[in-house]
Amino acid sequence: MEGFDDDEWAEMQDLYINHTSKELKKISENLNLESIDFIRTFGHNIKGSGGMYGFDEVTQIGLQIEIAAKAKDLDTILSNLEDLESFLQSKR
Amino acid sequence: MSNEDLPNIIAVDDDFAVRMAMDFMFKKWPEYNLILAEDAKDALVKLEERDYMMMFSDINMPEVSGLELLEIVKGKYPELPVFMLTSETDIQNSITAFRHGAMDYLLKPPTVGSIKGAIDKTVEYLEEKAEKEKIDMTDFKQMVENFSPEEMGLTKSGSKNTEFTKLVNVLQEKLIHPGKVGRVHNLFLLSKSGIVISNLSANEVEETDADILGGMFTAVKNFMEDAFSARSDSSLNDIQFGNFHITFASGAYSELAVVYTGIINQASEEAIADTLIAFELENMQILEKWDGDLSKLETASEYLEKLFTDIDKEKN
Repeated sequence: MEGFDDDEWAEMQDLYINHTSKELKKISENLNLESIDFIRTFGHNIKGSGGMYGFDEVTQIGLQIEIAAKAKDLDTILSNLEDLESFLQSKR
Repeated sequence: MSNEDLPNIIAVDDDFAVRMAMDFMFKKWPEYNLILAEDAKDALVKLEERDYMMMFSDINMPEVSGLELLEIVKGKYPELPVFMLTSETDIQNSITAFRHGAMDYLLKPPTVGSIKGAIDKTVEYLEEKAEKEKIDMTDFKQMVENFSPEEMGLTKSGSKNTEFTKLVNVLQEKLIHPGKVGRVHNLFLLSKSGIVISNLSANEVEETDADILGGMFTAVKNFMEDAFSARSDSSLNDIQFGNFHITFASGAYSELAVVYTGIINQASEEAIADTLIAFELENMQILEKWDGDLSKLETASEYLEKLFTDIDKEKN
């Protein structure tokens, strides 16, 4: 992100990956229609914050999750959560 | 300087990633103390806990939205500058935010540049505001210092000039409660040097204003003693400003200024003089060597309350 040096940026990215991984775990454990609003908010948030931390892939996945949550499409949500998990693993 | 002494800035966002980015940004600006809130409810609790220089708030939040928070905040803290964070697709919300009193809106994600820009804009705004208030009061003080019958138009012909009108307008705004039916609008008990010992007001005069007004009363009183001493036949001096009067009673150590509208009768005049005498008699030993410690003269407020009731109960 503009305005941060390399060390700061790396620290921020690490924290972001850790936090998003924890959130992903919570979502994956409660993947049902009752928690659809929470899933939509999660998608909306990572759509905004992914790019902010230099992860455009996260932004794309977040968009897909948000759209699928609005359509209550759990299969598409699950598929995108798996993509997100793979991506986050690759950055650890 | 501890964090407690720094200007506080509150940032409200339900997204941890945004809060974290803000936290990192503010490490670059140790001159500010950032307080993070994760939703509107959390923000309202934190806003109660301390004074803030400004607020950043996300618009899209669950339960209570940023716009609803803005409305509550503007009701409770109308002077607080607020910047809303919004996405490009929320432009209508941004306009609504503006209408509801937000100073500006920033596009998400926030950047170091956009947040710092908003802080600088707020600092500039607050400095201009303080400067303007200072200028107003400086002008006011100057008016008081330049107070003279000739300049104010307080001549035998009764003419008034612009300076007098300006002074009347400022005093009217600060001293006269527009909806008050009774007579007394303000009572000021002052030391001879113009320190406000106690003030009882129908108009909730702010403390800083009260101090300046205290100085003004002393200046006006001195002027009156100089200008009208020849024809003064009592210990009270009364001067009319527009539709209201200020009457002064002068004691050995203190002055009592009564701001009123209409007419006060002989009994009220006597009550003013008697109040000052009684206050000075009770506190003579303290007043003789008074060091400015207001806690030593706490009973002053009781005298003013009694006097207020005595004069004000007789409605016009």
